Amino acid sequence: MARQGRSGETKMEGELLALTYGAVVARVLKDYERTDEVNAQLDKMGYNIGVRIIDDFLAKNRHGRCKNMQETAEAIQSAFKQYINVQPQVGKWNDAQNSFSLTLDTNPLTSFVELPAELSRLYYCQLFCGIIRGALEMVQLETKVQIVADNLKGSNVTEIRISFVKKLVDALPVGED
Amino acid sequence: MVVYNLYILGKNGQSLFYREWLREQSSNLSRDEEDKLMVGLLFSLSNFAKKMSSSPGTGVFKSFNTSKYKLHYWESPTGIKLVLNTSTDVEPCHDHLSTLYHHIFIQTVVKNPLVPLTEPINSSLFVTKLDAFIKQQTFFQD
Repeated sequence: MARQGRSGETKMEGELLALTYGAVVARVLKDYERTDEVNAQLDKMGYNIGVRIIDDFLAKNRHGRCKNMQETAEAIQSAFKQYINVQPQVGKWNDAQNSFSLTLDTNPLTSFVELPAELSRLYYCQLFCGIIRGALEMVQLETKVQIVADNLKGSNVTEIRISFVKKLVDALPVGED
Repeated sequence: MVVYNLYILGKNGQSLFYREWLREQSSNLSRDEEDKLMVGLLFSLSNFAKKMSSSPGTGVFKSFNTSKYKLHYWESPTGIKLVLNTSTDVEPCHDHLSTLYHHIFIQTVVKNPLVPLTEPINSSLFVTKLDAFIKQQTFFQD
């Protein structure tokens, strides 16, 4: 049930979130036959959440613009804490310092999930990737986000890999001249 | 003190919202043309302002004055641009615009999945709240 938290914000039970998300994934699996398409669809849903949630995040935190990927990683880390109350570990930086992994020891979305063998190619938590990608795109960072370890597939943790692709520049609308 | 009008422009310069409270003289341009010219002005001005800055690439312009009016500008990190035109005696209202964005725009537009973020906003809730917010500002009442 939704209840009012101390900060006056509406809170939601983790179980309700896990079950709701499960129902959504199940529905998407029914609607799309190929697992690839399901992954893409979950990613797209996440993207659409991301492009809006970023505004809410920035409004709540009044964060300045991140100067490097380390700061971006910290911001994403605090966003996870804020929205789903888990604290992912940031690590596994590459040499260029523009690609890192978020590791979640506990994944609130998968509390009641067991993947059947025929769905071994499903990325159950692809929604996260879409959210991160969408949110970063709105602050002019194009990134590649993917799940590299999944606690539903034998791993102990869920690992999300985020790689910087390029900085986007604001474009003028296609106009007369 | 007079508040003339407000423009809200999207990430890629599309017009999201326009409202006027008191506009004595029309620019003789269509809504569309005027929005495009406004976007162009802001784009060039902020780019040039950043180039001229002591640490290039940073710093945003907040307002400019002409002898007849004052244009206040605020841009969100996600590229939504708010532009308020007032008479010249109004104090800088950069903060008011950010409050407007955080407390009204986000709450009624961004969090409302039925309002698309790339098309003109058609939400009466947003308009009502915006109108009330502007009308309660001291610079509107005097």
